Amino acid sequence: MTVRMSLETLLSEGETTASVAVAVLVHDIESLPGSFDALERQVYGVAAKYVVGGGEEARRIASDRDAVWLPSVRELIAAVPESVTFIWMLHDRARPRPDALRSLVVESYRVDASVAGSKVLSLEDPARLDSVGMATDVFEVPYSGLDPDEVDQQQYEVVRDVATLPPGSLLVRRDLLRGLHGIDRLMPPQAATTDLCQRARLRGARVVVAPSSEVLYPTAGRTATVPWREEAGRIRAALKVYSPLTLVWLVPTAFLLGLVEAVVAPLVGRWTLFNFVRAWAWNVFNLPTTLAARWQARRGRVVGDEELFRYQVKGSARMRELVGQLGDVVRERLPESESAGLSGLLEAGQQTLRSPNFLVGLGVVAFALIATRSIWGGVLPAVGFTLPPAASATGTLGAYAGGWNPAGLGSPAPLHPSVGMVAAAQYLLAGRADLTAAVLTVAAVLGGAIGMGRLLRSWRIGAVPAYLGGIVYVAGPGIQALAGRGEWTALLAAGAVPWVLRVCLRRWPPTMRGRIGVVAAAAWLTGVAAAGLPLLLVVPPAVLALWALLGQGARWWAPVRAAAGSALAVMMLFPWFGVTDLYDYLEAGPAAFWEPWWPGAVIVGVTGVAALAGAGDRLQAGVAGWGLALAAGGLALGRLGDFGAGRDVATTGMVVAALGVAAIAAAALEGLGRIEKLPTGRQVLTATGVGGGALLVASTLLLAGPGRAGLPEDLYRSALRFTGIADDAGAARVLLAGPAEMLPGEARLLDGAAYRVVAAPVPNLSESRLAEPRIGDEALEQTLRAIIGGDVARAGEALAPFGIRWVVVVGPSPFEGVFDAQLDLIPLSGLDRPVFLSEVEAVRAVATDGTAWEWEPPDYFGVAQPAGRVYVAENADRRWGPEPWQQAGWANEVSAAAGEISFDAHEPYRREAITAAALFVFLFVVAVWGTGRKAAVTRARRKAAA
Amino acid sequence: MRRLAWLVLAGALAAGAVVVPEPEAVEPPGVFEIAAGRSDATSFAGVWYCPVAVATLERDTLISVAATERATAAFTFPNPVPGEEAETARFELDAPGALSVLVSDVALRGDAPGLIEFTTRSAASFAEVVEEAGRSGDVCLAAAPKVWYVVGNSTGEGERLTLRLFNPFPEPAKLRLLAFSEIGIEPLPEVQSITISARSWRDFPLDDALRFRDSLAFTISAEEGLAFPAVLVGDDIDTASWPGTRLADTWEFAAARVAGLTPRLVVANPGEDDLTATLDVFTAEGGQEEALTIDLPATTPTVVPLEGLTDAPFGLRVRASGPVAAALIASGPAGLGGTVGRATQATTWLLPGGDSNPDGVSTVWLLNSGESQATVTVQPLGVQIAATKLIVPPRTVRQVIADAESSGYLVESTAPVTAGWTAEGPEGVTFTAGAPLTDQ
Repeated sequence: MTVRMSLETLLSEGETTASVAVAVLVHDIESLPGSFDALERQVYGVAAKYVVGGGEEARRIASDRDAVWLPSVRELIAAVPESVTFIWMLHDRARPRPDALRSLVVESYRVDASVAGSKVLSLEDPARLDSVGMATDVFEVPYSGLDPDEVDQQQYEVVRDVATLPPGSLLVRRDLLRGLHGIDRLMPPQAATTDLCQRARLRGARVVVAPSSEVLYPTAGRTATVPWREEAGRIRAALKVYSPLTLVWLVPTAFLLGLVEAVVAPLVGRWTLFNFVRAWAWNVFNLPTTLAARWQARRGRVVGDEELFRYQVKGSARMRELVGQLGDVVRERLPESESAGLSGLLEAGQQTLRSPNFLVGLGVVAFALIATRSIWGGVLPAVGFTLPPAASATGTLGAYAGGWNPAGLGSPAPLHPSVGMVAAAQYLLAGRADLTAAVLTVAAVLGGAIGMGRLLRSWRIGAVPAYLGGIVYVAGPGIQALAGRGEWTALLAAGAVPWVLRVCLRRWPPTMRGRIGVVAAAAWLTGVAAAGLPLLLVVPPAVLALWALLGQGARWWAPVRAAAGSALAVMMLFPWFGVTDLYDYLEAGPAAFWEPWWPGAVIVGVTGVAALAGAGDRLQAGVAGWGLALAAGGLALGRLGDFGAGRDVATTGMVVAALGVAAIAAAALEGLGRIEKLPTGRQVLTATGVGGGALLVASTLLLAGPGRAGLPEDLYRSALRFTGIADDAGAARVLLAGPAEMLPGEARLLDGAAYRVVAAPVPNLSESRLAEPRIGDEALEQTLRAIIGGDVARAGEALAPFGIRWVVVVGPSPFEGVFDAQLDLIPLSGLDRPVFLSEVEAVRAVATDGTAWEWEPPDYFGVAQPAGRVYVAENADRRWGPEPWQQAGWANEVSAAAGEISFDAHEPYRREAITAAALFVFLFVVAVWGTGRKAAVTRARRKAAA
Repeated sequence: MRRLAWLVLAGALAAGAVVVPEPEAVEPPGVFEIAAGRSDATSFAGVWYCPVAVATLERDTLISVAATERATAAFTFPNPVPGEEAETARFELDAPGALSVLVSDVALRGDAPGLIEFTTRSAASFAEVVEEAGRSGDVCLAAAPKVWYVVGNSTGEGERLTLRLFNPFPEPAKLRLLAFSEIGIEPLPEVQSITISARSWRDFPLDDALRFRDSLAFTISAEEGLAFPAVLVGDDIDTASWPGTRLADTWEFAAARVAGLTPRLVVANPGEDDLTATLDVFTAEGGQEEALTIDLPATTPTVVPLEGLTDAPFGLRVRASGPVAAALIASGPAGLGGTVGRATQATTWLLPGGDSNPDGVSTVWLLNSGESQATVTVQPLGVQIAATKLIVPPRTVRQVIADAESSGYLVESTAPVTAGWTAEGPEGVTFTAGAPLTDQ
């Protein structure tokens, strides 16, 4: 922001011609005169010329060419006068075209960039494209995306943000270069350039490539860079810029990938082991300087890792290249090798493949992957409460920790714990929203199935029926109903519930460490479940109490442990828990009335009764009875709407029923292995149970078929895709109307008709749950009443102050037709549903001079205006700033001086959120410490000693 | 034993789940009833659309606006030329108040259909075109149904007929036009499917395509967008225009006869079933119920000559056995006039206009077709003239001679009545329906 402001200042002062100093970086002394020749042809005059490096010979040439010789970039920064705006750093082998510098300067000004690079063409064949800026992967490996020998047809002639630039021609703001302490002299050129770009970006600077600026660079005999130095430089660059949390996973991953490459690369004729070892050793040796440089690089940063991730490609560029090379090799050699390889593999795995445990385990994994294939293969559908994580994990975490709740017209009320949980996972997954949704969904389905299987195994149910029961748990009638309502976070929560039960039912450890570990594990898992669906806090103690009452075996302490876990888990739900009224929470949403598919319910009942009555032993009967009671109880819970129960009660009922149906299916199928030992009457019952269990297992195909984990088909992405046509779609809101169950998350009601406001182009998870209506919500309701009541003929104008630019009717609604005869709403034709575009340019935040400000949740950004004001269409709250804040009707008006508008966090909520997060981490650590393998070994040793 | 306990517990829970009552659904509409119940005569959003306005050196339009409370009337005359801004003007109205605006003062560019946005819903608007060839006009339109019916048209010798479709909205309107006459449904392939550009209008001269029809009716259905229809008719003596209307079982015409004109009623049954209708005639002396019974064949407009019913000025009520559209046309040596009826009675009416006829006589008509006596106050607007108070006995019609300077009238009654007005002058005759402010 500092950079942006100063550029704007420059412009406002009327400076139209930037003063540029050129610095020729000497790598090949013989090329230096040619470089000066090219410089003299530049149409844009330079204020001063410098030659950096190269020793006495370079000093002499510099003297001949009226240039100043300096030994290093550090001296260059000190020597360049303050009147100079940009420094053009040119490699001596580069041959810029006459307008190269002019293009760089013009484009830098135009897009407000602080670092700009040229397009690089081959000197030997100027039609050949060498580089037009580059992305990198997260490990700082450049990825140009160009084909070898790609011809320059000006196909990339657009100025765009890039992760790194080729080092041959760089235009850098002098003050930025000074602030960054120049180029890292320990790095080779490309790594140093990448490092410079990353550090600049951390300071909020834009890094762009200006393809209209062309530089020729010799392809043959390039400045030789030792490969391990580049690799070492990349590691150092990563260590300097990323946050500690990113480094926690990045460093070991980078190490492992390097190792894998070192092992695999010889297959394609490359030897990277020594480079790998030297690069890491070099970094260990230089760690002190790296840490010092890191401190300098991260001090004064204004953006987080996510801003760096934005310009990076997914995965590992080197691995991608390696796999491609391997593929080529395999394709070349397959005819000779395929037969022997495959048969060998089959022979080796034959025994394992025959094992039913292996098969059912493989089946569970395969099922989970198949049932979620649309999500991990694409994107999470956006429908109901299933909304994708927000683009910025840090922004969402900030909002969760006392920041601004962006749902509807906003509120300072705390966000739902599910938002915090998903954002935390997203942060750990490099901020990637789609990846987070995929990982969490697969983990929930797979974890739920395995957890249920292991729970059932602890009741001596065989592996096959137990894991089939696990599949029924995550894909049977209960979860089908739950997921069918679009309750994605509840689906994630359900994945943790069986694990809580299993932990609480485990044998009570003899050591204090083990006991603490069990309680911590129960609390942590309950916290995970309750974050997705808070009412699940009571489910483990309740269902375990039921088991304790009528079940078998050592069980009496299980509900107590679960209750202790729930009590601890409550603290992880703050700050949301602290402000939520229990009764309001239980009654929130549409009245609970789960209408199951009744023939299916009958099948569940018959199967349960048959399994219960036909069970060969008491434990199996207990599992069947417990399942039967939970299935019936869950169904009853899901239908308590007449008693005031709301949406979460119904959803909780579905989870409970899912547990029950899974237990029934497993107990029923378990009978198959024992049927021969039973008397005839029980054999009939068992056979009936087995048949029912098989039907329940078969029913899971209904969920697996579409591959969305049972979630409904996407609605909002497709319904709101049209908003993406607008360049500034994110700066405006959409008013959605339709049946409450078709609207994203919670809806507001206007005389029974549901509507809600969401951000364009697609609402995210943090918008799913609406806070209590505030002044703006009431104003919107009054406006809608006026529109419906006929007092308003220009609805677009009336809705514009709310930042509403589009109106979309997603389903049958009394609102349908209300917007038909408005004088400033244009119905958009060719869409699946009624959609209206306002003729009034509506945005969420607009300055007094009429310019729109961008919304980058949770903050707003725009052109700084020292005396300007900005109208911010969020519910009025004096914590919006910068000062002076003023209430503008129901909204806010703040100063435009800083170019940024943000909400000051509510400190008590922030402290509570941080405490909850700390407890979450602490419980996890304690759980691992107390229940891990080492603890088990310790216990075993003590037991043996005793 | 435990198995039994599990069974009993599960059975009890299952029974509970089955018998638990379904929660009562929240009854929706409240405010939405307003949307559903809007009539075509009551301004729904304080916006009135005047399709017939025109302003040239030879012809001009006087748009009169009236409101019962202090309000701003914003006039907008969309320019059909792409990229051209609409002409606009704003005027303040007292409470109650009325004023008249010459379209040429705002948009002197030929045809200029426009709209008037009031800051109150208690307002109404009237447009009257005055030219050498005659005067024509009626109250402007407020509601925008998807289907319009335009009745009362004919293309006899010397008669001109133009259908105007005005789309004031920002999206194109795709319309389907169906014409039917005394000979049945008329094939009109060239205008069957019509697109009216956004904020534009189109005129369809139909007297050549449908020559020598005694009675013509049009059904205009909106497939996309909305539009407002009006017909502009003329003969050798005068011109007239009236807007489209919707369907209703009952129609009332406060003024059905003025001196020198021969009135006729046109009732169109656009449905697929034959209907019947009865005509009730009301004079100052009293009412004659079921003065006439007529058959209304399906998809046919029926012309009912009204001469001979009574020699006195009279009002009229039509009661049909199903939904129909109706219009009253009067022609003769004194001129040509036409108006659509009112399907609703009300205790408060706004009658904008009246000051466009300085050389003639304007008359306010009050029809009380009910069983209760109505005490009616007729308050001239826009001038400092005392109100006229009169009693309208049940089942009678009364006339009040209007002041030539008044830009409109506010009619308030103790019982539901129907109000309208007529203007007779050297340029011709105008029939105008009033705008009810409180539906009955």
